[in-house]
Amino acid sequence: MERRDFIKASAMTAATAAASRLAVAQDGVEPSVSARHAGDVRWQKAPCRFCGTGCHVQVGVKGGKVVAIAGDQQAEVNRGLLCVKGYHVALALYGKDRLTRPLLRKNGKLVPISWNEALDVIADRVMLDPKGFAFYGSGQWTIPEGYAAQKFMKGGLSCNHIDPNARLCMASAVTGFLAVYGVDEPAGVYDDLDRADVVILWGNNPAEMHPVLFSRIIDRRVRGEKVTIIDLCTRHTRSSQHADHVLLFKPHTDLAIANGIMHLLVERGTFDREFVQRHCAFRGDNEPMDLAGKPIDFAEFKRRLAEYTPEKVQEISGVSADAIRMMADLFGKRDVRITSLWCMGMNQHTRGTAINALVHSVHLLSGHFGRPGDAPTSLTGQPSACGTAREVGTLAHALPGGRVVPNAAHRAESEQIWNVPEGRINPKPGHHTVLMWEKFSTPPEQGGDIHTIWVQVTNPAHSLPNRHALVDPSRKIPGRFLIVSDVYPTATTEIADLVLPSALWVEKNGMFGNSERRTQQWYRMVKPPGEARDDCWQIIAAARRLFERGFEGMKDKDGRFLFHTEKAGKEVPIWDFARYYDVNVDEHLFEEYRKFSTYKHKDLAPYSEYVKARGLRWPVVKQPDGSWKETRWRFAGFDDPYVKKGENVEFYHSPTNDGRAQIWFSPYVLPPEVPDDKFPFWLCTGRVLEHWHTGTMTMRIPQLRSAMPEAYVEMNRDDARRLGIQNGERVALETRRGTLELPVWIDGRGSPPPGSLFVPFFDEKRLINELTLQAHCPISKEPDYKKCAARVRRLGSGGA
Amino acid sequence: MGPVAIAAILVTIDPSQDQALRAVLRARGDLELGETIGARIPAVLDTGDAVEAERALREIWDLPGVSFVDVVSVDFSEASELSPEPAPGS
Repeated sequence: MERRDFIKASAMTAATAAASRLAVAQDGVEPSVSARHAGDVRWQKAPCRFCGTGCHVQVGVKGGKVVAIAGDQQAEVNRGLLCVKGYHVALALYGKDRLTRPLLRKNGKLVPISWNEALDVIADRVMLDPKGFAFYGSGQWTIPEGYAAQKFMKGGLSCNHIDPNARLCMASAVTGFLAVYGVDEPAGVYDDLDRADVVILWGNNPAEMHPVLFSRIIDRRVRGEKVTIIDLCTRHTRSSQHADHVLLFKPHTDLAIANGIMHLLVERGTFDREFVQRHCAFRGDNEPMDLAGKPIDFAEFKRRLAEYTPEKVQEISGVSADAIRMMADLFGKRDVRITSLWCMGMNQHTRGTAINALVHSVHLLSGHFGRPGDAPTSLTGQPSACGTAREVGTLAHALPGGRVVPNAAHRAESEQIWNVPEGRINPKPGHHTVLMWEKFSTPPEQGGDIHTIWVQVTNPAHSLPNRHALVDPSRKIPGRFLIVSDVYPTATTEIADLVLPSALWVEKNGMFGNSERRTQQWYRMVKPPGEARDDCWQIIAAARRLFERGFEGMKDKDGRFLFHTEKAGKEVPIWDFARYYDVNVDEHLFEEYRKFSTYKHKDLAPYSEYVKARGLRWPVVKQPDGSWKETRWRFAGFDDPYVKKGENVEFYHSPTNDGRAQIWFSPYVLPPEVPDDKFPFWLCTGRVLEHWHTGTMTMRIPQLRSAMPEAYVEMNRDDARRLGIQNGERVALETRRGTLELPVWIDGRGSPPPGSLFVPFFDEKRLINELTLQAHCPISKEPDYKKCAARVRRLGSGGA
Repeated sequence: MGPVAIAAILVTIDPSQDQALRAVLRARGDLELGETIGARIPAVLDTGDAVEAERALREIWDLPGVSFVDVVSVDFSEASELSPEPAPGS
């Protein structure tokens, strides 16, 4: 048999096996050996590099190169299936323009330098003033990478200016969870999608953004189960095509919709009185708004909701009063199981914390919580937004495991685990993302106190809002220095002073934490190109350079190196890249990090358990027989080991320390910028199926690039006709912050209603974030990329 | 032999249109069909190059009666170039 025929036969076996398995909704089947073309290809597991779903892939390696990708049939998340990005993930390694050498800007040009010189440059910048050195990362940091960066900054430099780009995508989800439950991250899991009777998409488009999860819902319908999908959206998407109810709402009015549902539940008495009496309390906004809010009683809660009648909500939101009643009817039924999903639509919102808290509140008020299929679940956009940004706590105010820097006990515990002197951790929160970049772009004499930012695993010159204000000014201020670690040239490396070539995905060991609290592990499978090196190594090597210069912060209490690592009783020089893999640095860091994890009952198992599994969902608790058991439904007595025996539900991190979750009332208020005569359209930005975030990886994959080569502006047909614009015509899109030329797409993949526009943000040649608004949620500090006022002008015309 | 992209896929269909869809799919030269299981047709997509594969998947997805296309595996071990050119703008 020819090799090609063999591969085809193996492929058919794999597809047939997957179809058989899915037909009976069976999990965890061992992969068929015959489904793999055996011989010279070595297969290993890894989570996908892209979104927060956390699919596992099998990676086939031959001759030091990844040559094949298969969905991992043992993975509960994706059950052997992959989306268009997932099955191309390996190709992201092999773009021709990988960065392979450190580059330093000299006389305006980036020129190659040695790693030794690069580390000296970093050390020089720290020594200049450690308090003005900032670190900007992302939810694409692996858990050990984020942990190393966290320790480097807070335990080494005594500086809290570290924040992830998760601030731009998940921060409102975090503050929503904290406001309601007193602890971050979802109680539910993906299993809820297998049990829900109704799935509500709150401004969410999983058919494109989390396609494998959406396929899981469609799969149930294929098997004859009834699953009602309600799409609450501001434009028609691929998800809308599968929805039973498409409820188009005016941007920002989701708060009114949530309040309208709660109003009817209270007015009709169809809320879950027993659940609320036993497990909940009521809370309203403070002025100014904060995370704690203020307690209110049920009567006050009812009084505040009173104005949100179905008719009033219809007037505000555009969703019909009957549809609001239909939603309230559903939530009023105890025998229906409802799962809510959301992602950036609710998070990137100037009232992001409030709308997150309100959707949790709808579920709590109606008792749709704590049973399989009944869950309010936020999805993440990045592979380790939960595992790294939120759990490791690479945020300006946070310490690992749910601790915060202003809390003296939390600092003391962290100093004890890190074995650093008392008082090493600075009690003052550092600058959050927007403020960090504002300060970097502000001259020192005007209060700009950040002189250097080290960026890893993200592309802020492309992804930050209003780049003209937050990024560009820094390039003209003497003494400002930008360090960027990345795998490809990006909009940010283009303006950087020092560029460091990084290893990508399976070119290094790693661990991610996905949207459903699942911690995942993988091993290095191939070597990075040229002199590209692990981000984690870069941090440790920079720390070592400072240690060698006598920088006190890089010593622990005993005078040892902050990242001291031993093997068989001897220190391993992991700062020397040739020796970095003499030990498993990830394992060493993770074993130290997991000591932090029990404080908020986010218990992690030993590293070795993750090697065996396709991820485990925390809390992972040791059993009497020595095995480790994951938890699926958090706060639910039947599954969560930390719920008191005999309780069905217990919110054991309640903000009020009484086991109660908080049901919030937050009013609908106008967004900071609304369409007017000069800028008559709503502009929304987002992602597309083919490209992941700023496209630095997916635009290097020819198949994905050819499928979606450039950004566009989606426009309603009637608006286009009124303005005399043809499909495909290039127009000028303008906001108060900038102008961008884009082709118009009418009735394309998405379809905005009249008065609305949509532009994807992946295209680095068309930076939509030069136009977006930097206004942010006052609590989460997350900017609103989903709505600002815009206008469209035909090129060569006066405008419209 | 030139570069190939061989993908194992699952085509989820409206079962009432199974026979009609199978005929449409079979008419494509790049697709080998397995037996329908439930509402899914396992299939192997064999295209001249990876870009063609992507295009073919989209065409299949757009067929009336097809509700979803999942990919189980893709093999590009015989492809001569994995990424022939850098991204535009880089």
